[in-house]
Amino acid sequence: MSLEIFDRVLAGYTMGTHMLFTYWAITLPFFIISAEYLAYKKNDPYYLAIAKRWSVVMAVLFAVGSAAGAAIAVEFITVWYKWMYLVNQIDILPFDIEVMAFFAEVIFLALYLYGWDRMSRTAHMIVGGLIGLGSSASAVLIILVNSWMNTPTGFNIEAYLQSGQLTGVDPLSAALPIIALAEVPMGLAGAWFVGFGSIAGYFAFRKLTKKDMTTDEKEYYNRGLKLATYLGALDAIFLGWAGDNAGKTLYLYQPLKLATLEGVMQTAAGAPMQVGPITIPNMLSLLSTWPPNPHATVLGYSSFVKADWDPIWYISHTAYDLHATLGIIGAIAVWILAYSFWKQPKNALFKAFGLDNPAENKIPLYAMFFLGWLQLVAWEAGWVAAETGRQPFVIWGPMVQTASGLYEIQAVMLTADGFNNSPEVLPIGISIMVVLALAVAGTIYMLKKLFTGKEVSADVSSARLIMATNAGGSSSLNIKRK
Amino acid sequence: MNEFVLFFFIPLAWFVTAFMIEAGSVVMIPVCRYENYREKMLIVIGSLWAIIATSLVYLVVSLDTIFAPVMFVTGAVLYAPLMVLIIMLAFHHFSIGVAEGSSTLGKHSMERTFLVLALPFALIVAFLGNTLFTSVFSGYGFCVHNLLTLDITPNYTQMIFNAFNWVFFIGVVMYVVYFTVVFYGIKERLLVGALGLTLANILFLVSTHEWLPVVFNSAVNNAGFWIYIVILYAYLYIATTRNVPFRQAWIFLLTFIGAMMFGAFTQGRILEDIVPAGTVGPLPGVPASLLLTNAATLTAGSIVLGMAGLLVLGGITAVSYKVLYKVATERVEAKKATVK
Repeated sequence: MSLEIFDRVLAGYTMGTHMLFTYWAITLPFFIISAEYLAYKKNDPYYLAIAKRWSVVMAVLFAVGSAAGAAIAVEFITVWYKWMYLVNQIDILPFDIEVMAFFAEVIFLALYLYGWDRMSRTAHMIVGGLIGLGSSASAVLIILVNSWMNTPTGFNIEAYLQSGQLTGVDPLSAALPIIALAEVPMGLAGAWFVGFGSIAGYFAFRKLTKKDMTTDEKEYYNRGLKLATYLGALDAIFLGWAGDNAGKTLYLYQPLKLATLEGVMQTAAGAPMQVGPITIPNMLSLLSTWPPNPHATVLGYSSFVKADWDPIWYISHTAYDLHATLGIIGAIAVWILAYSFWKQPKNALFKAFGLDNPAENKIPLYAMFFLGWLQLVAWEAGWVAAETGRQPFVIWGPMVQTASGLYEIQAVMLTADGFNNSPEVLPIGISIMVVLALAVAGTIYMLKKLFTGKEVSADVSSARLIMATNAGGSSSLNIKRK
Repeated sequence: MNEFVLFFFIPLAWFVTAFMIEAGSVVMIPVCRYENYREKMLIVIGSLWAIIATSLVYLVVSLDTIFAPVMFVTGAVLYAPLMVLIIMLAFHHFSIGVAEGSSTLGKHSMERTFLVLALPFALIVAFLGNTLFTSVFSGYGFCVHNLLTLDITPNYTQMIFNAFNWVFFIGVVMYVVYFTVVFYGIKERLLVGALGLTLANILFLVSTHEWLPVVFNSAVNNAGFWIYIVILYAYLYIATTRNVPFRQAWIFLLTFIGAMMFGAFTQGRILEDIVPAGTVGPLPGVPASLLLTNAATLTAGSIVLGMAGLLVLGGITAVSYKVLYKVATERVEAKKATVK
């Protein structure tokens, strides 16, 4: 394996590991405070138990996610230092602001965990919301840097391409690149969807596998399942719009990347959409344009100079298809399930699939389990598509038409010019990969150990006591069973 | 000295001081009887280790913002110790995390095992950090082919095994012993603390005299430096024999000031032992200001980093530490009351 490939694999691996935890950091705060809110509003100890147990999960996952984040930060300045030099000169502002977002996340997380009995309920939920705001802000800021790599701005690109001199640097302008209009909504909506989906998947898994469930456990898991499904369904609306918006934005500002993701080799008016073996006529033109134009011209690889073709376009295209397919199926499934929870429809079609009582029937539970956890695959596949789809450039540039009529990208930096070619990177990089794998395995193990012997029933009983105490010590507990 | 270069020492000094608390707490295991101070140590580590980790992020981002061209140094010369440092830090934090988790579960023997396991990783992290630090300021380990184009290659044997690195590191370890004795107010180890401080001072002065003359000359000719040394000894006595309010905050502040003083005494010079005086200005070494990011990005970034420093490190961290520390202390007291 060449060092260039290894450096890319190392960065992809570290980022991929970091991604496994970032979506939890972005999603869990909102799930937890929703549960906390419902607990107080409905005087329901099950929701309070959910909030308390999952806040421990949030803390553990945050710690490991931060460790992977620190690893990628050091890899930026060691393995990809040539790229990082340009980022530092032009677009470091989002990283600087992200420090504050990250710190806010850490501090509010600590205050939330320790503040259960030490601040008012409203204040506690606000603190929880601020964790989510901090983690979401961190995500947005990092995605802004990624966006800048796709549509660089904030400096005199032409002068740089001609002479290598950096002039006209404007860090504020660099911080808001145009393609962020596509990337930021997609990143946020996707993170929330995979988070809520996998939480629902977990609750479904427990419902399917836990034997001799007590009444308290059943109520606990049912509520968690329903809450995660409702939140996922809500986010799926945002996700649907974000995905559609991303395609349209790419059509306008990065048509070569759209061609890579969609596997468009030939420029065509009325371009079809290719999903695996299925071809849908005119669909790509229709979806990429606004107002929708089924006859619009979509640029394919045939309109670009061959040097700019992504050499691994097939990886990007396949990953993109996987990402979109799983996301769309997941969104449809979660809408159906949320509707079923809400209305508990009794017609024959819904009953046939167990949707008259989705929390108790195997088909919807298996659907939630598989589709929920497959969103993790969709999430990682989306990022693989995005990052392999940027090749051969690590920082893009303006798209210009050559004398031959073909387009070319005047790239600010090729990937091949950005990596560290020192041989010592290989053994140390492999060690980093091993350590990260151990960290992930260790985290899962620690989570399991933390909750072994800490039964749901005990947390529910404790929540009952808290609520009874806060209600004035009344001994009769007004519990609404769902 | 360039104000941006001086500013960089704030996150550097902060991280070094914060890490000393963690390293020192883990050092307590051999220095003191573990069981006597276990509760206090765990409270501190539990309250602080996430803040310490995020301080490292602040340091790295500050380096990126203020010294963009230094990427050619971190990437071409320092990449190996930096990457190994991350691996060691990961093991260190994993060990601390497992120890804390074990404490929550009441598994004290497992807790002690992982805290002991964290100790060599803490020392390796400290050593690697020290190696990076001494290498940059002295230039040992840097093979400069062309300074103007930053054409530099590493010599890791020289970087790690030069005398300056080891003498300075032992001085740091001695200071950590002093720091820990004061931080926890361990009156049984007052003499150990005094010995640690004395050895640290001797080793710092000797090493800078030999290898960082700019720092040495600036320090010994500065009255404030000597007043500071006296304060350190005085505070050792006070902290271990009296009940001082905010004892830990004071030693944190004193250490932070000491690290900032070191930064000021460098007068912003690096590579002092490989670039003779007169090459770039009258002093040995190279001014770090030559490696500053462009003015527009530097100004914008510094404002944000400054806000991060003031609002978050100074304000929120202090508040949250107080909250966490208070809560953890209450929990310990409640547990003791239950046992009785």
